Amino acid sequence: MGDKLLVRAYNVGCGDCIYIRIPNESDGRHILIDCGKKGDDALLKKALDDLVQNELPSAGGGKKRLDLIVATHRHEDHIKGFNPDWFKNIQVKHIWLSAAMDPQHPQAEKMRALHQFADHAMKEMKAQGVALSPEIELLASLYGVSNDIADQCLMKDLPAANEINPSYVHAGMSSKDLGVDLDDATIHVLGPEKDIDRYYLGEEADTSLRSLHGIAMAFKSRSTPAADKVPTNISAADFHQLQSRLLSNGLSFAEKDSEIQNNTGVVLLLEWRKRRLLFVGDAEWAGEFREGKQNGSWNVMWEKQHDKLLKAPIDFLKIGHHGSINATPPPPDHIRRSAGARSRGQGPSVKEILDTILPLPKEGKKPRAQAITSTEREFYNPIPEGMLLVELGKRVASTRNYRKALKAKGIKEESIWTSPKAMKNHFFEKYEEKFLGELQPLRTDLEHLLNPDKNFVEVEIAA
Amino acid sequence: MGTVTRAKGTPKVKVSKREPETGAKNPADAVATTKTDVASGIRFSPQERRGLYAAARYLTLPVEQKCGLQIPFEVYLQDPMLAKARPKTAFDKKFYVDWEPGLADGPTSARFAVVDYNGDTGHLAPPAQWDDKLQRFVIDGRVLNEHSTDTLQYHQLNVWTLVQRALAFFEEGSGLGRRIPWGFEGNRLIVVPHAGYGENAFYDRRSKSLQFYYFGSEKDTVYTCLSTDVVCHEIGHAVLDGVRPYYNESVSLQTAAFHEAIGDISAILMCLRNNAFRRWLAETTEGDLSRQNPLANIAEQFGQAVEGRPYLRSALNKDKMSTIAGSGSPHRIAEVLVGAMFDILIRLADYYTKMRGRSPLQAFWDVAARMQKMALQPLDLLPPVDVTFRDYGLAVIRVEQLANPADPRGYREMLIQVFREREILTPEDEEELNQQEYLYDRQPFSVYYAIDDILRSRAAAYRFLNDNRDDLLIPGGQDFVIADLYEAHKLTRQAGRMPRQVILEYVWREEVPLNGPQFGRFDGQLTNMLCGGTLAFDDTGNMLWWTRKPGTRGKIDKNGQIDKRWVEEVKAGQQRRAEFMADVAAHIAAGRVGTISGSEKGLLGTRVPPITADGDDGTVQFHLSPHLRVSEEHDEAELGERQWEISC
Repeated sequence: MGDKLLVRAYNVGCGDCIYIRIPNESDGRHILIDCGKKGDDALLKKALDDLVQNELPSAGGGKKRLDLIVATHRHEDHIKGFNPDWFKNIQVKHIWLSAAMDPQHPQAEKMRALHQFADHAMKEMKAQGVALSPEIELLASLYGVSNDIADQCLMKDLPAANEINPSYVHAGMSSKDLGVDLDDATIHVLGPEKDIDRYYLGEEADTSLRSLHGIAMAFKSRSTPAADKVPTNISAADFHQLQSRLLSNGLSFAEKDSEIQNNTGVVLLLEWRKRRLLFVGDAEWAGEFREGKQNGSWNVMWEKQHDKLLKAPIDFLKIGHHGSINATPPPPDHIRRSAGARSRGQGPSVKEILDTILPLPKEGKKPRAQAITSTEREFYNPIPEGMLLVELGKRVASTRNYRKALKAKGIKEESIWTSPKAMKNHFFEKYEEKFLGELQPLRTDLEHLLNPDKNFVEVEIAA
Repeated sequence: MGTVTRAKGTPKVKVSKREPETGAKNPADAVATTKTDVASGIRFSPQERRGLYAAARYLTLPVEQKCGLQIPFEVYLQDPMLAKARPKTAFDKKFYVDWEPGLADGPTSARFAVVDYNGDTGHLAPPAQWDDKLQRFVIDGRVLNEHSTDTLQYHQLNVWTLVQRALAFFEEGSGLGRRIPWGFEGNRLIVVPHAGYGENAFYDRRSKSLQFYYFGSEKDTVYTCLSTDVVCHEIGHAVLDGVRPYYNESVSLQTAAFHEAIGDISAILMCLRNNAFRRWLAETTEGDLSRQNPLANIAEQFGQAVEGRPYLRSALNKDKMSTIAGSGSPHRIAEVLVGAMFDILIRLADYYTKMRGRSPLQAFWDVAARMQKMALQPLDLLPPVDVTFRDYGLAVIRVEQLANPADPRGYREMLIQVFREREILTPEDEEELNQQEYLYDRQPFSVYYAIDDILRSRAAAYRFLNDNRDDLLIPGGQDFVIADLYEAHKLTRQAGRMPRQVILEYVWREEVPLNGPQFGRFDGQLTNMLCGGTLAFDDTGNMLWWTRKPGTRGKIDKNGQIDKRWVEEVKAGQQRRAEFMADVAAHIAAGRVGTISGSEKGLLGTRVPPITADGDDGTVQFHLSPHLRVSEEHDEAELGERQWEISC
């Protein structure tokens, strides 16, 4: 066991499956944050098998014990692996879900309405076999049937099988409040805020949705479905083209919903013997905090915690959203420009966040903090964002020069990203080549290449 | 009358005589004075009407109206909000639209097809029906008028009449004096009055459509299709895209701004041309347009609903090129030009009332007539690519000079002054304009061509350009394309006829590699910069105008140096190229470049970037995206990448 805290990110491609082991006098405390990935789930099963066979302590009756499951938010790259069958032999003591997932939560009503609308629209599109551009395919995958199964698993099946109730957590709660004994460790919930509609939805989205629905009903009563009666003054081809060039509210609300899901995800600060570890899920930053508008999770957290829980550097960061540019508060300007990132409302407060929690080391000193990116460049061209990783590489100790490491193993860097999609989109030339020679925080995809026998990346935190 | 030569073969140009009789005592009364409703006036059989229609160009306006060749419709003067606030001027009850053979349900006409499809519901509303007997649009047998405003069919009719009139406004003799093509292949622009929920209205070349959305609450729904200003603004985009389609590929903010400005300018002028509006404006302002007034306030209902302000933009601004420098918003930049044109409008109104003793109503009529020509006729003289406000200013001054060479009242000086104040023209421009001695410049062509030999066909025009390639400073090492070739019959004051104009536009592309980190994800790719020119001749072959957008390739002489005659041109081309690359880099830095993604059932509109980048295999082509969001707040907002994808 030792006296070090272990953080292990399983290699699950573009997804998160994070295992934490907190040492104590007996068999330790074991936590799983998320279990999901884009695409097929074989790697998830492998990760869970490893966890069950090699890490979790016995709970008696042929089962293994898992003290806490946290599912940060309901996107497939975080929850796909929550399959009741796979957890048959695990005794789960606690399940934490975001307050946004609570069907009874009164301050998430409007957000729920938005989610239902988006869900319905995207499912309808799928059912009709509507052709989608690749970017929209990705959006649609967030509303898949597998998501519904995972939702069900987390909210009903697993709790029932373990005779517990899931806790819907929000900012201000801690492991102590929620009755989770972690010995000398405490987990603080930094996000989402309890009043979800107020902080993350924005008034505009809410009124738009309601009015849209109301007016649409009025229209429906005075017209007929186009499927039944096509226009007679334009050709069928022109009508088809026209339909594809109208603005789809279904898509725009789905996009909004998807952002809000990310921003109402669970963000945890784990404190253990003076060490502080931050697990951010897919939390986004977006300009500055603005009352009444749709806000990013980082913005809200900073607004609330910059003089409290976030006012000092951290010792570990689970890099957000698989290394995406918008899940780590703004790095320097040139990175944003390169990625075309949001520049709205760049007040000093937003720039401060990264410098506060992961400051650049002083002259001649080495950074102490550690970080891991659980990622794979396959589904989104610019995820992970190279310049961001290089910037973070300056601020953490758990880094590697992948160019050197790959060369030492005789692996040609040009041969790594060679799938048809990777070739077409020039993954290597555009998004990797320039950055491989710099220090990057440990990333699951390349670590796995360097050590094919190892299915995870882990760091140990000393007290 | 000659035949217009265009590759697609358009019909004869019709010069419609909208202008009142010059002999009318009071021009404001030149509109139909007969109190008899047209429907109960002279009746013609469909065949007879067709025969008359063919001769319509020789009929006066009152006669056309009496014969039913002009149909009166009842439309909102401005928009429903103002209709409520000022019930007396809510509707224009005699909003005349030209009759045409083939009017059909929709409404559908030669140039427009209204398709009332709602993207949110996937439903089609029944179309307004054309009743041949009544010669009106009806629904279920009832004529659509001010009492049917709550029907969807009324909306269809309202927007259709507006766009019909707007196109006629541009095409008639006081406008460009020619039939104007669309920016896409085909003759009909699709108009969607209720496209779905959103604070949007836009013109989309790809789907050949004008899309109008609605927003607000169920009780207080704001329909953009009922806002005269919004509709005029959007049809302005569509028309300009037809007149100068290559502006769509420009990366210059001024060109994007020019697109916005034309929409607003035409909205103002069409309002002023409206008899009912003009009468009311004369009463309200007593001739003084220099203080806040309804003419200057653009899109009032929209502004109120979206921004909580009385209007969206005001033409009564004092912006100059220096005050908007650094702005990334085409709407903002456009205000300089719209303001300038409004300045001219005010000065004209002032002049007619104070110096010529006209009543406010008469003065506004004069101004409306004069400004239409002043603002629209210069469009034909613009370069085919990358227009600047300065190009337009110079064209305005030139058009005035050609129409009014003696200029006893000093209009030229007034125009120069206004454009100088707004910093659209430089002191050097002013000096050069004041030094001009002759009406026509010496022609540069070594190989003479009679005007009809140029106009005969595009192939003939190609030959003319090629034979004179050197003189025209078109680089020898590459091919060029004729963008357009047409003749126009413009009218001048008091419906006088200008000599026939022949316009020839040509373009070519210069490859531009994008190398450097400032080009972000386009680093290492190729794009191209459009170059070209517009030549305008009159009937006798005088060269009326020649404007160019040069490239960087010049003729090399025997010693390997750039030929003397090309030196200036190449220098100008290099400056253009440097600006072009700076513009591209600036757009990328500001996050304005992206792709539009969508599905068969619609686009993801929330993050449509101002500039779309298309292309594969190392070449990228930039386009102005269909513009959305008429309100300012969203204009300056930069894009973010979508959280689940960064467009590439």
